[in-house]
Order: sequence, then C-alpha cells, then structure tokens
Amino acid sequence: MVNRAVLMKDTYLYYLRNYYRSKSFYLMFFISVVVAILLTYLSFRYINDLSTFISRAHLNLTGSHVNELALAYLWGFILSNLPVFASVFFGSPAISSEIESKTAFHIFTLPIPRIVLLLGKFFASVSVTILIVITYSVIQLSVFYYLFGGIIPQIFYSILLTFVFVFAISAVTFLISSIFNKNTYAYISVLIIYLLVLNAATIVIELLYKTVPYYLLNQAASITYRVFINLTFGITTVAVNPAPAGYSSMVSNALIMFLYFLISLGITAILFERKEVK
Amino acid sequence: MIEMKAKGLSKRYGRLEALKNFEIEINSGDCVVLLGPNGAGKSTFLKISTNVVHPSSGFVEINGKRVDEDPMGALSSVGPLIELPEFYPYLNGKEVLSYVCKVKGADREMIKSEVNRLTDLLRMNNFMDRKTGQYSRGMKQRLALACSMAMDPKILILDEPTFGLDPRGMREFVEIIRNLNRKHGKTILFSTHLISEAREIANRVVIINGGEKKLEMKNETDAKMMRVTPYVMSDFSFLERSGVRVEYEGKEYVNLTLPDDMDNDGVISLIQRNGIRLKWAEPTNLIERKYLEMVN
Repeated sequence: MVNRAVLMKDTYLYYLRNYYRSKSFYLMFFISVVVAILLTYLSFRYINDLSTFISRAHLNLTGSHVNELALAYLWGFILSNLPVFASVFFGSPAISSEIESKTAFHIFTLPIPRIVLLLGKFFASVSVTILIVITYSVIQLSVFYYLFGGIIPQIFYSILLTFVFVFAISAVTFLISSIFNKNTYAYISVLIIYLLVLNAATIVIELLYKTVPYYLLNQAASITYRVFINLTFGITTVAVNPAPAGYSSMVSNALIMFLYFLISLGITAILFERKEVK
Repeated sequence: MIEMKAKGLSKRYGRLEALKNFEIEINSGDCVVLLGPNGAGKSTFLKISTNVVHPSSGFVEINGKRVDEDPMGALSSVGPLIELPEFYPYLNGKEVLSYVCKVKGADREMIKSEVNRLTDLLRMNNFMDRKTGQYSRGMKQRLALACSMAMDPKILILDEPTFGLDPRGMREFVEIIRNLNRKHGKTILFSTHLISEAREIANRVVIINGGEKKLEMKNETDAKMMRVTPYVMSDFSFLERSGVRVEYEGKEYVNLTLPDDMDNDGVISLIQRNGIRLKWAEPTNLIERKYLEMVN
C-alpha cells in the first residue's frame, strides 16, 4: 500500500501541472498583471494628488504614512477581488468537470482515497491562486518601494490575510462545484453567491438589524484592505476609522475565513465521497 | 478460485431500477463477457465494481474485499476501463501513465520500465509526449487501456472498450484482450452489446437485460444447429424428409436443426447432392440464439 503522504504529494503535483499549464492560469495571470500595471500607472500619476483625494473623501487621516495607506487601500481593494475571480477559474469546475468531462472514470477507479484526490486538487488550486496573488503583490511592493523608499508592514499583513482568504474562497468554490455536475452552473453559482447573495444579505442585515454582518465571507475578506484604512461602506452609514484595523480585528477576521475554509472543505469531502458518475 | 463476486446487487436512480438483484461469480483466468443492449445494466454493474457508482443494496467483492467498504484494497488488483475516460488535457500520456503506476505502488525505476513496456505493447510511441487534450478517440482508448494494464493487475474490468473505434482499431483491441486472457492468464470482465465480440473473446457469457441477469452460459457452438448461405436462395424443404427442421431467415440465410442421426457434413453433402451451391455454412453459435431469445 502506498503511503498516503506520498500519494498526496504525487496527486498534488499531478493536478498542479494540469493547472499551471492551463489556459485559465495564463489568462488569470495576464489579467492580474494588467490590473497591477493599471494601478502602477495610477500610483505614479496620482501620487501628488493623494492628499486632495484624502481630504475630498473626508477621510481625516493623520500620521506619517497617510499617502502610503491611502494608496495601499486602493491596491488592497483590488487584491481582495483577485482570489474571487481566480477561484472561479480554478475552483468552480474542480469537481463538476470531473463528472462533465468524464475524467472521473479515470481517477475514481484508481486505488486512491477520494479525500486524497480532493485535497491534492484543492491545494493545487490554492497554489496557482496564491501564485496569481504573489505576482500582483510583487508588482505592488516594487511600486511602493520605488515611490516611498520602503514598505509599511500593513502591506505584508494584507498579503498574508489575502492568502487566508484564498483558502476560504477556494473551499467555498469547491463546495459549490461538488454540488453540480455541470461546469456552467458551478461558475455562475459562485459568482452569484459571492457578488449578489452575500451583498444582498449584507443589505438586509444592515437595514433590518442595524449591524454589519462581520461573519459573512465578503465582510471578513474586507480586512485585506481595512488594514490600511478602516473604512466600512454600509448602506445606511459610512464608518471611517482613521486608524488601520488592529491586530484583534485581523485575527478575528482571519479566524472567520479559516472557519469558512474548514467547514466548506469538510462538507465538500463528504459530498465528494458520495459522488457518482451515472 | 473466485476472484470477484457480486451478491444481491441492486441500483436505483430515482424510480429507475438499473440493476436488480444481480449476482455473479468470476473465477481466476475467466473471460466473462456481459452482453446486453444499451441500457441493460452492464455499465452500472461495472461502475459499481470500480467504485464510480455506489450500490443501493448488495455488494461487489474483489479478492475478498468489498468495493463499497474497502475500495482501495479491492481496486488495488484491478485494471479498470470504464466507458471512454477523458484525461486532464494539459498532461501528456507519459505523465498520466506514470501517475497511475505511482498510485499502484511503483518506484521510479518501475515506473520508467512500465511506461516503456506499455508504450511499446500498445504502440503508443508517436503520441505519448503529446498532451492528452490533443488525442483522438483511438489514442485515448489506448492510453486508457495502458492505464488499466499498468502494474500488471490480476483483473481487467473493461466497459465497452471498443465502442467508437474504427474496424481496425476494434480488431487490434480484441486481439490484445484475447492475448491478455489466453497468454497472460488475466481475468477479464468485459461488457459489450456486440455479439461478435462476445463470441471472439468470452469463455463465459452473461446476458443482461432490463437490469436483470437473464442467462449465464459458456461460449460454445451447437453441433446440431447450422446456418447456411446459398449463392441463390432455394427451396430446402427436401431436407425435412430427412428430419431436418428448416427455418428461413431473411433472403440470405437458412437455419437448420439437425436430427440426432445426422451431423454437419451429412447435411452439407445432402444439400449439394440436391444441386444447391453454398456460399457459407457454419454451426450456429448459441450466444446469438440465446441472446435474441432473451432480449426479445
């Protein structure tokens, strides 16, 4: 019997190769570079107007790194969306495609536990998404170093929190993918849930219960840019806290995202184990 | 020795009962063909046997291990080929086959020699370095067979493996499978809806229809039944005086059932003495007759 850890490593590498050679990966890579170039252009052109932006937005920010924080907030806002689209590319078809394209007949019949297949594929998907995030972040770090002569620690916090978010959103997309047998439904459902349902839920909860639903994934993920400026856009209020989100906020939001990762992957494992190809 | 068995196996998809209380025992070295029309339940049985589908009741046991309880243990000695599997499109044939060997416990050296052996055996040299997304149906079929043969499994489970192949490909495939059973002693469970394939490959045939096992029989001819094809369709009623039962099948064939005191040579010489020239004469294979009886 082959050692499970070895099986896991081989399965991970098998899927990783298929992911990083795919058109989806190159497309997502290209998109992240284009977005980073656009933000680089903005950063160089807007650097001198940042103070106007800050005062016009009534942000009332003070401190020694105001410009960096304001600019990093814009970069961070975009960064928080990258994993969503990357996971739609890599995670949405992860399980549904096994059924739709009949690769399940090749893979399910091998003497390998399905949990190993699932985890191998999941970590491969997370790896390529993190590679996309790293590409974007390297450009961001280069720009900030060039413009400000150093890097504020919040940027590193933001990147690390984005990694946690990658795990959470990937697990959620895998869960949705395991429900469907058609890729199209999986793709659309992930986008609808993240961009429509979660926002709708936020509106409903804010209006009816006058509270920000911090436990929703989109709210927890906003920590990736709230580490720069603690700006919360509610429907009824705009809450601005000039101080960046603190450590306790980072930890609690990271924990919420980690729970999404754990619960989603757990349910996915159960569904995947029961998956049939008729 | 029993290598594989199914007991009380049933599978429901909603209201549809795809398999009903199916039972079978397959011995080491057997070549069992599941024969039945499309939708008969053949694939369902093979999918349950390879852990692609879970049974509603009953179980399949391979080498003493139940597939539903210990799929890894049960499938470790099985080489499966279910329908026409697809492969991950950005991996090449060598990578796919190497992974299958790794999963089946091969070390680096074994993987290399196994990939080379199967590449040569199935004549895949000219496409193993290409990504599988660029493969034709025939190439995928060969790679799938290579995967199922990797690491020399004791049992091959093949679900309509020749479906969609051109006649040459089909012939080669059947030849390979026949050799695996007869020369290498592999146990083979093979499903098809083609009687000709069952006749060529099987030593035992199981006829399935409507999710039920209708009949299990040896692959043999009936010495007392013949089918003849005359150059020109003629009146064969003169044979009835010698006790031969005559049935006309279409405009080409005549089926003859011989009496106990007459053999094949006897009836052929009787036909020729009556001035009828025969294009072809062969003993009737029982599979075809039984299949038509069961399925109709």
